[in-house]
Amino acid sequence: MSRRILIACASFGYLFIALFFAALLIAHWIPPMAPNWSAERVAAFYTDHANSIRTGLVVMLVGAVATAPFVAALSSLIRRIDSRLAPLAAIQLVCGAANVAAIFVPVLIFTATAYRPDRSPDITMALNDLGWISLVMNAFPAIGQATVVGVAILADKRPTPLLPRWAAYLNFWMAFLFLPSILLTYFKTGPFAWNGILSFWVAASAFGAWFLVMTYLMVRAASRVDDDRAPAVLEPVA
Amino acid sequence: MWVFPALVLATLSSWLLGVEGSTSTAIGCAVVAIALIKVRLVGLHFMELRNAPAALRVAFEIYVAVTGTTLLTLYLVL
Amino acid sequence: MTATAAETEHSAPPHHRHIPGEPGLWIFLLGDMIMFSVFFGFIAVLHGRHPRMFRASQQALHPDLGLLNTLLLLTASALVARGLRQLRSGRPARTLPWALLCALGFAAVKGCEYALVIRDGHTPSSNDFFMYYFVFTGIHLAHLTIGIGALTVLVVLSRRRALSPGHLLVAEGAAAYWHMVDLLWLVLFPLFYLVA
Repeated sequence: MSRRILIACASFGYLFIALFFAALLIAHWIPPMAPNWSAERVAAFYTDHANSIRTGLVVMLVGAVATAPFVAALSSLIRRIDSRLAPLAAIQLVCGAANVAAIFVPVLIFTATAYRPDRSPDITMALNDLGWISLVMNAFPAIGQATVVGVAILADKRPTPLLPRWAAYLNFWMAFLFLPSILLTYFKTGPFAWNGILSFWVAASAFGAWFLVMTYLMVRAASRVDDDRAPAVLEPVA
Repeated sequence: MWVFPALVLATLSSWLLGVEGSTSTAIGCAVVAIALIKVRLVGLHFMELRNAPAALRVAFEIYVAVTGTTLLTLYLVL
Repeated sequence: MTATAAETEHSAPPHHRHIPGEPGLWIFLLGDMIMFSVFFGFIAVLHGRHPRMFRASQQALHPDLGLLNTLLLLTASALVARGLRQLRSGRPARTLPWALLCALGFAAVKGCEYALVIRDGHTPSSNDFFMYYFVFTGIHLAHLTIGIGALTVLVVLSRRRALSPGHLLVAEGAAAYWHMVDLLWLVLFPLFYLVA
């Protein structure tokens, strides 16, 4: 039974990616707005696309929750590599939970921004900045998560490890690709701005690819784990 | 052990070419080409990719070729 | 030195194909190199679009320090390559601590150059040239710092009496990572300092 639960939980990774990128498309956020747009242009964008933005955000909100089973399955698999890796599994869980928040927070800010698009454009622009910065600069939980997953995979010393060792190095590379987005705080144009090649396009592609590869590997690994010990039968309370 | 002296010579020659402050495109491209040749030497000899399985060696050669042609094209066209 | 070279040329016949380090490590190494190629592209595009600004800003760098750093990295790489061959054949690899010293020297020289450039009033926010210069060489310096860790692992391994195949794999991986740090600088250096 636990094998089927693991496979089901891991598969939520596919659902998340589908919902997340669908949401970005529905909300007209690919390509992203530019940080150097004027307040009027930002306000006009929200007025023109108010309902698509609101709908996209609802889809993304649902998507964010879909990462929870995925993260739980990953921690469970890490513990199955070696029970002594429990602290690493816990770090992964904490970072994964932070990632849920890292999607929830910008979604709620954007929802507030799109709630009254006819307000003063300066306020819309400030809220829009807040939304984009929290959506793109939130990479650190994901960096921690990818790093700790990589370490856990390398700690698997069995001849046929649960997750292949190359996946560890892929995780380290992904952690590196997420890194440039922290520089967006300094730039309104160029590769490090929130719509830049390195902060947005590379990081978003890496994020999507990471989820797809990890989901595939986790489903494959889950189908190999021992199916379980049934829960112990408890003595009736006297 | 000719690789290390070759790398030092290549470094010094590109330094002499570049540090003159010449703005000619030809010299710029020569400096970029020397850099990519050095990259290939480091990869094949120091990283020992010349003894690596074909797939890895080919991946590296493609990397050098694509990076080199892209950079040279950018310097020539822009 | 010549004898060692001849020996290794012959000890690696063409039919013996060997991946240095763990195969998976090469995903990270090649991936990182691709990322840096994107950086190189940004420098080339900036140079093409704003040649005068590029050239004027370039004057504020210190090409002699850049050259010194290139030579330090090349020396370290040659020493690491030699040390790895010695580790494989079970001989003492005395060159490795010197490689570590070269790596520390690079970091020190880079720190001095940053200080000189900033003292002259150039910061990442001055213009796009300095933004790229500080960010890309900074990311490279971060890689070098990890490389110092890799070289330390190599030095520690070289103190062991005998290396297991697993240790040798780690040593090869550490060496390959170090060579990547060298290789990336070999392109960054001419693009920032030499191409005018």
